[in-house]
Amino acid sequence: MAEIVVASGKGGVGKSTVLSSLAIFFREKNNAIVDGDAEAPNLHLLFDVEWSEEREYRGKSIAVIDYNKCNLCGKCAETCEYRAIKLKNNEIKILDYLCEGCLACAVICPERAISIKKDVYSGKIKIGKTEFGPFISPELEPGQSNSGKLVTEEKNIARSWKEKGIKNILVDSAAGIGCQVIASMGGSNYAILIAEPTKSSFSDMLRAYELAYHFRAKPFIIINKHDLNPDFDLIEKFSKEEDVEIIGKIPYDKNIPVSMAKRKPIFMYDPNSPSTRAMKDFFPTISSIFD
Amino acid sequence: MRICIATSGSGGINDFVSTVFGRCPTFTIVDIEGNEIKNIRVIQNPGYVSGSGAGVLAAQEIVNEGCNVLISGSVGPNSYQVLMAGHIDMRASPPTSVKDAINLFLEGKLPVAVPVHGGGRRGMGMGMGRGHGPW
Repeated sequence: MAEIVVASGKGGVGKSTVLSSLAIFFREKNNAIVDGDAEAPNLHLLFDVEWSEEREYRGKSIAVIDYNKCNLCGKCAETCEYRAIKLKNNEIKILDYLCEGCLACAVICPERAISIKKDVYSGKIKIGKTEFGPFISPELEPGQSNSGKLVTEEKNIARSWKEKGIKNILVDSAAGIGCQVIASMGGSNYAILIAEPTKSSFSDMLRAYELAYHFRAKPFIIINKHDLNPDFDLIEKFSKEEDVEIIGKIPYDKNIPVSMAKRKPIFMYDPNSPSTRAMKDFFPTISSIFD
Repeated sequence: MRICIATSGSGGINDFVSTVFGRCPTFTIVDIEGNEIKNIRVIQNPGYVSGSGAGVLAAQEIVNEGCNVLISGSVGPNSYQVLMAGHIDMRASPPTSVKDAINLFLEGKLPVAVPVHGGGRRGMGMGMGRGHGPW
């Protein structure tokens, strides 16, 4: 089973566009599609998903006050870095959506009135199917931010489908290099890094590259909108110095935002648009990474 | 010498090395006396069930357990920092059995998990015979 993660560091450079195109182009490869952006899942908007199952996700820890012991001293509220404890009119309460379960209040409380409740309901994992393979998407409750475990659970579901004939897992990672991106990268065999020809995108791509390096995922680079800044050569230099292959370049394509507005992957919306044609040209060079 | 192996199942000498460290379910810990494997035990990885910060929790556990060596498929950036501070020798292993991985380690055949590269920039560069393998 091959696990392929699409990452970029910087957001909005074309991860979901590339991933949806990969899923369509390689539809015969028995792929499962995983949205690894637990905090802002949106890949399902591009696919016509027929949802069939929801699984509860419990991950968050929150502080709970034992009001029989509490003497309203307010030390916990002063200590809380997240301002999740409010003391007002002789009433103290914990705002669950702000609490990170960090334990600071429980440690500081002289009355030992605060304990941490673990595995609180935090959201769900939605499972469905598309014409390009089964689809897994996260959905967190508002204010929930602990998402590495959620992404890992999504991937474990996809991994368990090996017996059902799933041969590859395509993971659309979140932007950045935080918890959920680490979880997206962990255990992956290949990392497709998307960069725009700008310094900020290049710099962020390096950070994603470093993650891929840690997790021993073989990296590839795709340059998106390369024709908007043709003189930008830092990505090419990096590619040569570090021996990371640039598998392809995608031109700026004004049809992409239009296709998104129509909720269609660009591959379906316009099979002859410049970006689709470019991807069709270079995708065959990576067909060997699929199992 | 105490070795921790990040294991992908319920742990033990016949379990397999996990591809990840922070979110592997179990740690199998052994002591090496002479060239013999002794005191095999399994502990749960606190990072496995943690919503976030898995790598740091997992690494702290290994340091607390007094391990000298960690064998894992990979070591992420956050656990790497904790394990470095704890002077743990991190080694990368393919997903073989725990027994095979320990033997490979004792034979000196397991590469360091995250090689340091020239230019003082950790994690950059593909030299040193690292060879990205799809495992």
